Amino acid sequence: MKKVLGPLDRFVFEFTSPATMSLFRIFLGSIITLNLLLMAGDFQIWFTEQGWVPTEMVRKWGSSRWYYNPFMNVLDPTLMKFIYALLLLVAILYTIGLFSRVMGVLLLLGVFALQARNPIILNGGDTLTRASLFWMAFAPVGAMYSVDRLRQLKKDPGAPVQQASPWPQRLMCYQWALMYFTTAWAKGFGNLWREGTAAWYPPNLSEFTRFWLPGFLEQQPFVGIWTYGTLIIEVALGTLVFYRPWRKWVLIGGILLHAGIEYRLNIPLFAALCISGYVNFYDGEEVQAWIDRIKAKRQGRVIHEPAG
Amino acid sequence: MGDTSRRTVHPALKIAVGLHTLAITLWSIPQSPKVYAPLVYGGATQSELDRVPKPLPGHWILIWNDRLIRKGSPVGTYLMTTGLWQYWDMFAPNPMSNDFWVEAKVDFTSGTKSGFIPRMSQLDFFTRYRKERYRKFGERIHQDENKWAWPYWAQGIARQAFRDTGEAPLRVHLIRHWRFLLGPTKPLPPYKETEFETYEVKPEDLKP
Repeated sequence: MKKVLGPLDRFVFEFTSPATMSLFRIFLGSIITLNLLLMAGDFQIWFTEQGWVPTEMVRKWGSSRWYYNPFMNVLDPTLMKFIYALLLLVAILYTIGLFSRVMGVLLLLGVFALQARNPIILNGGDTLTRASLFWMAFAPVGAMYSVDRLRQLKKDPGAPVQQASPWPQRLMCYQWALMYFTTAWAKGFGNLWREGTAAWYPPNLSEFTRFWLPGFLEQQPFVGIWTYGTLIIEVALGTLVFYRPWRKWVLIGGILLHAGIEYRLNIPLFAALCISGYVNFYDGEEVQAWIDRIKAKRQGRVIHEPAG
Repeated sequence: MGDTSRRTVHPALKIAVGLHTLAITLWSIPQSPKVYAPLVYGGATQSELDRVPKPLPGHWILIWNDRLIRKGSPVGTYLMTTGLWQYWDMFAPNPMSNDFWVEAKVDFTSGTKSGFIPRMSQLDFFTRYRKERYRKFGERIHQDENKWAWPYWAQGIARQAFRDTGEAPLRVHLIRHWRFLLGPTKPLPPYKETEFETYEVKPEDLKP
């Protein structure tokens, strides 16, 4: 038991570089900001009493249990608009890493509240956003690549980056793996997945489809390849991704899967969120090494640039 | 970089992380196939129980999870009240084969107007991306089990029509256009049309 739990304990909790968590903050914050901007045009329809989803309807739709839903008490559309604008500002500050920890908690409370105000329009990306924000609220997300870090260096130019326990990052990896594994498991009960035709259906829904594909790619054997390929990649992303020698290849499979979904189906920001979460499968030191390499390359380019 | 020598966290945090992980895992496990519902929810007669096929060993895990975790357990209470609930059933167990869109026709004294619900396939690339939530909303609400929500939807459309046109609407018709996709080798059937809600607009519906 100790043989298994010991390495697991060290992998999840032992202090390491916070580079990955800091980089993921930028990805997550950008996606939330974009999402808020995308919905802003239909704000009145989705989040006010003048729209399609008044609070009375949400009360009937929602769980019979008490749940966190503070915007149910905001009936004035102007106040709701002000809160929405404030939330957008919080998302931007979180992305650039100014007062990161506080902004992380405010963003968590705000996004949870906004989603609870209208649960009828939510999709898988929203669920993943909620889970990510929850874990990230416990992470030192402003320790690197942030305005907070620049402010720290301004005060003390030699200040070292504080190491941190990566458990929020590790649990985000688990969250991603859980999503892929359980969705593949649920698909195992579907006859269309078993017979190898399931991948044909979503892009043939007229309101859901996006870009064109040559007709022969929508016939067998290609439909079977897309269908079984999806299942294989999802199972791998739920299991084999934790085996370090295969990690890169499994994640490339995931990127291809999401790129295909993004091309064929209109699911805003879902691919961006899923793929950006793959960074969490890399240790802080690995991410830091990439970024240092990019910085060194850029500096080299500047040095070697011919004058004039 | 700071000190890296085996620093870790408080055991209480480890326990909390472990419990939360267990909770989301149990909640995310797929629901058992509908055919086993009498075994999950109880109250079934003996003849109903006799008709249930014998579950495979793997299915028992799902049936027990439905019985013990999903039905009013502390796990459910914890995840639902905190907003940390999650389901991962994208395109599962089968992807949707009902190819539908919903149209709202609004009667005014001056005539009938349409176009109050964006139709994704008629929109340009960027607008479609921005308006996808309308499709998701329609997908959930148009189903018969959510019949109770249709008057709310119609009222919302009436208010929107009033704002857009400045004319008080009299009636809102919600019309479902639908066809079932039959598979890769079969031709696409024509759309059928059903008016599933007719709502008489009341003056109080239009109050700001």
